[in-house]
Amino acid sequence: MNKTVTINIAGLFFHIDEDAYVKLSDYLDAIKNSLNTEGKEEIISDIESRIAEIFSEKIDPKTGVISMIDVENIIQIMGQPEDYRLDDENESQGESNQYKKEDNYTQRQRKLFRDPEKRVLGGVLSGLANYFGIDVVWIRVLFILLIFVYGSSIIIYPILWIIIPKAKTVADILEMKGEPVNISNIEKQVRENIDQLGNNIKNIDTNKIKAVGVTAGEVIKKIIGITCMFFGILGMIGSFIMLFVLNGFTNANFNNFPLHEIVNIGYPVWYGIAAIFTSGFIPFLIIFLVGLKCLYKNIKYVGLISILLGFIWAIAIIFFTVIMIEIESKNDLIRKYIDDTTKVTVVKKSLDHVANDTLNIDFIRDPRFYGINDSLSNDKIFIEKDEVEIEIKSTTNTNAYFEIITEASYSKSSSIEINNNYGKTSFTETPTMLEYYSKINNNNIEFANAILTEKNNMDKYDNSVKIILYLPYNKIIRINSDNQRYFEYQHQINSGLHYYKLIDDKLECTNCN
Amino acid sequence: MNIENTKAQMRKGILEFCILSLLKDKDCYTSEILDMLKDVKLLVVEGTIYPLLTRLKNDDLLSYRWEESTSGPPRKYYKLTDQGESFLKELALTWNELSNAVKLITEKQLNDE
Repeated sequence: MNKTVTINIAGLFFHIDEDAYVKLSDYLDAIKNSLNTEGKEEIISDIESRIAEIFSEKIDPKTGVISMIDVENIIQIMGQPEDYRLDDENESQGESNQYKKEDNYTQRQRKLFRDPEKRVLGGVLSGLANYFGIDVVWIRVLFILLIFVYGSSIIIYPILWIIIPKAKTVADILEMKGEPVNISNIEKQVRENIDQLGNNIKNIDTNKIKAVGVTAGEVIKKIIGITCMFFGILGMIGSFIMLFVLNGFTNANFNNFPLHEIVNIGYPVWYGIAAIFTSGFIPFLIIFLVGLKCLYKNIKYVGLISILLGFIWAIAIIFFTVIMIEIESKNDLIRKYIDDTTKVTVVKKSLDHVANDTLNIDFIRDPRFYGINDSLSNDKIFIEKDEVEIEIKSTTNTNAYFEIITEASYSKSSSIEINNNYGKTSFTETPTMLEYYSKINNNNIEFANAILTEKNNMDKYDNSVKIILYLPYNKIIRINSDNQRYFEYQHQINSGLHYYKLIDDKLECTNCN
Repeated sequence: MNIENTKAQMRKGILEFCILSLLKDKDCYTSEILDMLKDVKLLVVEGTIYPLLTRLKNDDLLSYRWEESTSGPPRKYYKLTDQGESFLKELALTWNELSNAVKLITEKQLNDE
């Protein structure tokens, strides 16, 4: 079965099978494309009237329908599109001079045209690629990179679009590609065109395709599409990089990053990584798909896939939230345990005996750090673990004094261990701490410059020491801060040996520059 | 070198001259011209003739008129103009010279072999 259409050739009506019609119409289009002379319309009408003549002679009187075979016969008689070209045109004298000139000086020299065949937007970049004879991909990459140079390509592109003409005729396309305008090339090009048109012909009139330009809406859609795809790809690459980075961090002890906390509460670490990756990756994938849809209309189910991805994304987010909540409540528990078990001691020492003298404060290394004769040994019993904090406050007393506040507490990791292994109630041991070293010798005071911890207990305890020195106003002190490592001051202290005075709650150096 | 291509080139070169010669004695319509040219195998496919006729007409060597046909679409009858006639005379002269020259050369070559 075949659908029949009615056509009008040179004023005569014919019934013609649809496939035969398509073929005939293709053929006439191909001839139109191959003709380059003036009076093209006239020639076509001559050809049409000849076709009508042949049809009316040969038509099957029984059916009265023109079939594919008839059309093929016509093409046999009339010849291929290239047969219609007078290839002596270039050499001929007289009226056709105009064509001769044009053809001669453009031969073999490339001309810059926009290439409508390979265009994404206006075909500017593919035109440039043709002109310079390099692959269009490189030009596109260059233009994308140029976006980052003050967005220059965003400005350049439209200008090029306006000033570079579009390759409209077969001759234009050949000139654009730098191929000489001769019969065999035109034939080749026309064949390519027919192939290209053949794909579209089923639904759309071929002439319409050529006539319809790029509308503003389409352009905006394409720009959105390209932007979306660009950022989508960037984001997806970023997500993958993050995946590898997180994997690398799995073993690192990162206090602020919840990965090892996920392990602490008893989940495999990849749960967390998968949740983070999914919640980062999916939005970019959706952006990419939307971009793809903007560029290529024939891509289907983007909406459906996006909704599905959205569900997966939501699940990942919820899962991650649940994990984080669990981590937080666990952390609260641990924090509370640490607070509950912390042992605070405050030792107050008066300095009444140095009422009128200058106080000499020295920060030294705890004498216990070096055992007897083991100053060269690396195998020490103690390590200097944490910093000591010192604060200087004013007092209305006539004499100075200081307080040493020590807090002995379990570290987070040991608290978790205790909680996981023993349960709070059955574990009665309390955190301990070595006594903080300080020495008063007349008006010389020595403070240890770090908290000393036994090496074995290094990870078990998290101890802190704070010294508060209360000074009456205008009391002069001398601070030697040459050995100040691990020491944290509340006030600005210059390095070296200097004298200070407390004025208006501020410690001021009296002999600094 | 493609022999078919060369043959086509040769035919195309003298096609113009032959068309003008056909129209010297009587006016013809397109199909008549086609038939005569095809009879003497000067034309393989019809396509070539249409641009050629249009060009000859545009160059004022030919003119045409429409005539109704009983069996098909109206026919285009071509007629040689005065300008065409003098053009043909010149072409005929050139052709004589050429054919003599070709004859001489090819016969000489054949005799030599």
